[in-house]
Amino acid sequence: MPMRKVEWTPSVTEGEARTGCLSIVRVDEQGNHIDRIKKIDTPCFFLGSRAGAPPNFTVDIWNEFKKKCNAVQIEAETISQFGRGIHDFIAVGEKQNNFRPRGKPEATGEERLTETAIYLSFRDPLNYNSICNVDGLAVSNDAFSFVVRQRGKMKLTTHQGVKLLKDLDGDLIESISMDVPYHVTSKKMRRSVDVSIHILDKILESNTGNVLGVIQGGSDERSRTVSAKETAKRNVCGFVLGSFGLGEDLSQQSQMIRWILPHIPAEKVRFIPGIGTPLQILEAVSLGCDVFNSDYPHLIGEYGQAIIFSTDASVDRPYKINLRDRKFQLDQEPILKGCTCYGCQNHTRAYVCHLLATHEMLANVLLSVHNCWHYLEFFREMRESIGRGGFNRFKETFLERYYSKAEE
Amino acid sequence: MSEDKPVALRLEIVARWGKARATLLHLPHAICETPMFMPVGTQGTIKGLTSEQVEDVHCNLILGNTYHLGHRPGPEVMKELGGLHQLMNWKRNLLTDSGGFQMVSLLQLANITEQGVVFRSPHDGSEMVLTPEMSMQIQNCIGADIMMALDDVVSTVTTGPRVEEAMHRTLRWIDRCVEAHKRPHEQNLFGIVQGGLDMDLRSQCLKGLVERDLPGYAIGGLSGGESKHHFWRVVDKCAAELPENKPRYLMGVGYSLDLLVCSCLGVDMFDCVYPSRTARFGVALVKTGTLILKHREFSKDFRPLDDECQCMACRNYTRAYLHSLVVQKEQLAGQLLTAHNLTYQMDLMRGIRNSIIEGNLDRFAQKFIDLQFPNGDCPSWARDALKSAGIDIQ
Repeated sequence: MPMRKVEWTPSVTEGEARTGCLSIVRVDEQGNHIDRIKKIDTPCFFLGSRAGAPPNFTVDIWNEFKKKCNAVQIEAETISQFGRGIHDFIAVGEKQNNFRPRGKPEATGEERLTETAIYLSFRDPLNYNSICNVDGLAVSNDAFSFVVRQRGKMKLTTHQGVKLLKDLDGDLIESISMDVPYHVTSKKMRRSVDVSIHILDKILESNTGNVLGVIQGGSDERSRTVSAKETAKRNVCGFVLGSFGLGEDLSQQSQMIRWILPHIPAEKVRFIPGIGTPLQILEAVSLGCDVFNSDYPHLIGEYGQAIIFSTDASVDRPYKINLRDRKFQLDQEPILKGCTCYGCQNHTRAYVCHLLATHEMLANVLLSVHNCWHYLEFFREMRESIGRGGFNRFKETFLERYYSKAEE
Repeated sequence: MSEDKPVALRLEIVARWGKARATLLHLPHAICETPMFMPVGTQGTIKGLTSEQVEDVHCNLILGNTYHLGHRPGPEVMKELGGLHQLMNWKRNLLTDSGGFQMVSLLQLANITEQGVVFRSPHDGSEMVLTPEMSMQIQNCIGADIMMALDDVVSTVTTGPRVEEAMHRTLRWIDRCVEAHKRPHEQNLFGIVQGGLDMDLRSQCLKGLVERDLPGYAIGGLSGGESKHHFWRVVDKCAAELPENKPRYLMGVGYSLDLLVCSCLGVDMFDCVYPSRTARFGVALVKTGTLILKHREFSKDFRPLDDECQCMACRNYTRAYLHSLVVQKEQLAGQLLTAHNLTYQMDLMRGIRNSIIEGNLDRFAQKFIDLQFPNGDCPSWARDALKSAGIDIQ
């Protein structure tokens, strides 16, 4: 039975910032390469999902996004019983014939590479306040509990957790670990490292190829260093910088990243979930992070706002607009002129303003679509800037324009 | 028919079976195949669906609500934006109600006088009047392909002189509506037959409206809690007496059994919030009735909602997935189930239409009843109604 393996190949670096390509390949039991099934350019953003789809995204909208973004969370037990893996269950990626969307032929060749890859995490990708809770764990007795379900905690043994990950059959698997907020005791930080390494070893015993090790240790330099070094010794396909976006400020964020990165090999992918504003992302990219995930673009939409910032120095545009503002009720322009998202191609600011005023569901749909699309565009532009050696200027221009005044 | 009366529609009868008929209704933005179901998009959107997704369920006509749209964004903004088609980017047909019904259903303080519907504004408490002229003015700004006359609606359980008064007032108001309607070449004004459950009043109202030679007629004031035995008899009588060459619209009816029965009785158009509202409560409509997806039995059910349905939900997802969305109260559940339920309604209407054309409406009706009532417990009113339409249910 072929297994998934994750590879990352670097292409251009500018300072510490780097572009590369994340590939999901299939290998046989001896580890021989069979074929490449997915390809994702980095730096990139994984859209978070709730209950198996990004909020408000139906399958047709999701299809539109495939070329831009790849990646998606769901109640694990059910999928285990479904028996055909998560891709089929949530209708993403390698679907069965009878579940293909209308008029869409089976993906072949290059096209398959743009099918959505699924990243399995134990932390809610759209609610970073709820952290993976491994409290109550005694490392020796092999039992741990954490928040997986919206209906509460579920107790799993390591063995069950490992089986779950296997049944889900995701493309990338984040090892189960213990997240800690920025301000906790250093004893707790050290514990988070021990627990996370312990579980990682258990997972690696039975699963190979596509497991990312999570580096914990909170805001304690020594713990972070130990965690990074220990994780780097193991056979992981990449690294997750854990416990970010949990109360640290920008300089503390950078500090923690700087503690970690020197101790992990450069040739593997670095995922930093939990940080999401363009400012935080530009900072993390400049330090060498590759993959991001946060609730930021969805959250902006929930406030009735659309992000329209421009990374082009010659274009003068505000960072975002508040479409609840009645000044837009006669505005027949799309949310952002020239934007190719479904909302901008089909609807006007006046309509979104009306939908918000009347509390209609479609407002959330159109705003989520636009904000995610625009955000993914920002990542594309960022990759291009690194590609042509202009990332520093890209970053400076952006900070100058949008962060010099107290604008967001 | 006088040639000089402006109309913006043409009705082409394609086939008949007993009292039922299949027609092509040519409207300004698309040709509609009847009998048809028209989904309700109260505030300029079918809850949660994109215009494209509504087109995907093969829907050619949706409803907008004059009371709600008249309040937000309001007629001035609507006019400035070029109408509701423009605002919501909907390229097919629209129908708007008169706005009167909401005044009665939503507002406790509504009072009907000869001038119009007097109500207290829910926003600032001031007294306002919706006159036939105002209703026309707002509907002209919205610009729907079909607009409804302001009528005097009384609850079907009301009896006595109030029903008669309402019927007469409806007739007096229709003249004010026709007079005030500024865009008869682009928008079709339908009259609404009132008269409660009284057959004589219904007849009188209907005759009065038909004398005015309107582009189409609606049967109003039903599905308000009256007994189904009365309901079908009123529908039957109105459908029989309305002119052959004009579309017939039964307002507020959307349960699948009612759609089948009333199509057999000769009604062409239906509207109801039921399929989309019930979807948001996690209920899917299927050939055998309904699936209440929050029930645990669906948590491990890996079949689609319906094997044959071509909708986005059935083509891509299992009942187990939809169950997980419903129990987690995801908005997506409502979106997917609305798409499914509307597809179900459209498929049902297409089935009825095709069987009229193919001449086997009786067999279609029998099959429908067998699936929905496998224990032979089809309600007696439906049997009676179908019998009057020439269909004997076994």
